[in-house]
Amino acid sequence: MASSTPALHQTPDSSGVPEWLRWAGFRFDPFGPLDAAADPHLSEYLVGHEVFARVWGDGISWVFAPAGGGKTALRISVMQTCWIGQETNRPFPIPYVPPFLAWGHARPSEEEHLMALTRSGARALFLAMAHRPHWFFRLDVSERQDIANLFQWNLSGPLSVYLNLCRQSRQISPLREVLDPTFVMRDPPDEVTLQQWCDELESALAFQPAPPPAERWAHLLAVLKMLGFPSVYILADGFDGAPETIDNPMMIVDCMRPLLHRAEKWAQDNVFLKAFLPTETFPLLAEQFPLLLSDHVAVIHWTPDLLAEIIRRRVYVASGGNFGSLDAVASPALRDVETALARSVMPLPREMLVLTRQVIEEHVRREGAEGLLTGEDVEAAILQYTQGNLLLTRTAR
Amino acid sequence: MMRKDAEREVSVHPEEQASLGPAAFLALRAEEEPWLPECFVPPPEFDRMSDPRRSVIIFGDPGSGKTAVHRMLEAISLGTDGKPLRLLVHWRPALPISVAEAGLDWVKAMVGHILDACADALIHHLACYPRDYQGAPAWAQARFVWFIHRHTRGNPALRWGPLAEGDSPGASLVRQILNSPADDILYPDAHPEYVISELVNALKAIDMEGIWVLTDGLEGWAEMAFDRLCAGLKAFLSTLSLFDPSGLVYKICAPSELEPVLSHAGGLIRRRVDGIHLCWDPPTLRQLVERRLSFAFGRESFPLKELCIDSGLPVWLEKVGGASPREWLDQVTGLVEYYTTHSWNRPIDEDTWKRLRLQRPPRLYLDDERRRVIVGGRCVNLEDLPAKAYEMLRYLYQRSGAVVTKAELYFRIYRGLDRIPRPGDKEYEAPKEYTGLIDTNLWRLRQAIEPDPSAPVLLVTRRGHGVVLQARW
Repeated sequence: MASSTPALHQTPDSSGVPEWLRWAGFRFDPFGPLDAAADPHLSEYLVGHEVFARVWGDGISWVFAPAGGGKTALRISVMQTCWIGQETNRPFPIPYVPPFLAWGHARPSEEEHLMALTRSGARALFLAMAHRPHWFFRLDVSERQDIANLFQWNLSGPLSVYLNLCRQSRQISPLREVLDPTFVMRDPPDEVTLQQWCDELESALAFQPAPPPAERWAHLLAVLKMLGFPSVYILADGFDGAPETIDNPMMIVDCMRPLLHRAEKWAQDNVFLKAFLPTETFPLLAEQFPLLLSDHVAVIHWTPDLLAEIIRRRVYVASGGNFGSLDAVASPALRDVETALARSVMPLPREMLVLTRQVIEEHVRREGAEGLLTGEDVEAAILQYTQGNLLLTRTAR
Repeated sequence: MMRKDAEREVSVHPEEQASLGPAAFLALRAEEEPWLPECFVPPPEFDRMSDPRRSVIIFGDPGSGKTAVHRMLEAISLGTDGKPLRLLVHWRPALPISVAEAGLDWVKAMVGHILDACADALIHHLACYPRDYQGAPAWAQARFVWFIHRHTRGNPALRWGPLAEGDSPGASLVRQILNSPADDILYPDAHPEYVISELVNALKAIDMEGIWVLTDGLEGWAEMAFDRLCAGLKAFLSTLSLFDPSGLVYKICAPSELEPVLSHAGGLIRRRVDGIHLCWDPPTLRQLVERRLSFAFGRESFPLKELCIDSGLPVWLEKVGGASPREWLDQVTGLVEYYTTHSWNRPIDEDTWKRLRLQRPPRLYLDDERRRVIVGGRCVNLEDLPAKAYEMLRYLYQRSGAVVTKAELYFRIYRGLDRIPRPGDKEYEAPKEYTGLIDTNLWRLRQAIEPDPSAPVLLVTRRGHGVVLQARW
């Protein structure tokens, strides 16, 4: 996957951390992006979690975790598992983060949800099809027209704009940048095939007025069925991303309500809601929608071993497989750095990343941008991390 | 000593005559110091503040250097040839009508303002650097035209007409952009996050690193409408998708009064935005003063001891200046003026410095509501001060600069009279009855507010007349 993260040598960061990472043999900063949705390397170092098995499969499912607890990473992991292979024999994933900013409110109607879902689905299908043009090439004329219309109506701009971007840049990555930077699908087509897809898709467009939202949603589902996807997963995430919902689980439930009322009916049509929600919403949902929550409920718990594994995996990938633990760049007196950190941190992946980066910052502050990590770096980082969390903002030292 | 001084005179840099001199200490407001980048000393954590990938809110007290940081964030966004490395967008939020209105709807309106500010910054950039546009791929050019037309509030032709008629290198390009039809890149109802992604992508095509949205100057609103400002910013910082598009980051400087509320905003707790309290340590502040001195006098270096030989000056600066760069510099200002006009560039001696301290005491502000006094960069809590001593301070503060007699203090504060009785009057008491009481309270006040109670500069005795509070703000 082409990375949108600047390589280390391009990062204009005056902290000295990039220099130390480079000195230590890292190809990129694996501790920088704290938000899974902003990490272009996430797919390379996702850590298997037992919760995955409860989410995967045809059925409504629920994942509960606190903020920073790995919900988005798990959602992206499910999405990427859907995209394995060359064919349409796996579920089609619609990543659904409610577009609060576009709505301007947090009490969406069913129509608003359907519109946003359709747009997310169209974006995902457009990117997937750019990677798998043969799904399009094997369709007949009217089926191609259906697909072209779907894109024309539901992408954020005219289809020709995206196709021109693809044609002029001769690659898929600019599309991914503007549509979904977390989208990962292996083995993209060669340039000629990509150009052919752009041309044939554009020529299939028969300008027709866009139907109402409910019809557009039905049209998307019909197109996915026509393409051969056995089921659709609606991966609902980010419902706590608005000022009205961020500290208010009841508002989250209210915001989801139109989807929840539809969930059972959808399931009969092989469209399965899979929601990734803050833990606080669980009792409210269990009380109000007991039948929906009767099965496939999972709560993400992180043990120190799993948290340590998150760091080891990132170290392994970012070092190009040269080493698999920070021990390799720590003084001999320091052993099993990851576990030591995991035991000192709130049991959340994001916090583990924060503390690990803090260790490097402490080292750079004390010793400069070279040299092995020491026990003092770890102790100072833990102290600073603990104080920082008490104060919530960092005080400049 | 004479010989040493003579040597020092010889060592003065030849460009000293052409340098700013005391003028470098006159304004002490970053917005009025165009030469700031030349003598800036970064505060601790400046690397985090300037991290190109992270949004950050920088909290600071008055005089802590927020605006200087803000200006330096601008300065480091320019390449060595002065060309911007990224699009710098200046944005100050409007206030929500009420606390209750500070929700998504208001945030959405603010995003409209930000996009308008982006259009403003973009067209000004293209007016200065038309070759960026001319060398851009067609898809990026189309996005620039679309963005300027779609996201300028009001009529783009009217708004940017003066720029098109001006003498900037890209005036004709501005005319061309304004006259071009703006093809739809995104539909009008496209999510703002996608709009930003399109703009960032196009900027990357002209080798710009993305967008920094810079915010400063919130103090006025914090004073006038604290609750609404807090509520609005908290809503903004809790709208997580604002911080998702890569390539656009926010750098917000905010008064520290907002910190208790905003540090609980969702974006900070979820670490989408870093919160940093701007705070200085004495060695960095000393470095800052010495850098300013060397800049003012055009020297390679200018240690404090070359300004004043008294070894107590650094201690005094630490005590009076606290953690405020402005107050450290303010305390040096009098010395610099004297150094230039009277001292013929020789270090000032101890006696002269003590005299100068009296002439330019630390700034003093009585915060009656919170029962505290701010002396220079120090905040002194007066909760423990006896009530009558505090009343005396308030009385003196209201008459700053005027000599107040001990009799006036006694009869007004202790006896509650509205005039001072004369001998023979019913309320009259001889000075020996109250002088000790007043002196004790003056001693308490000096212990509380004077940087050096043994050599007062704020509450000064005028022998035979009374005392005067030298409040300067």
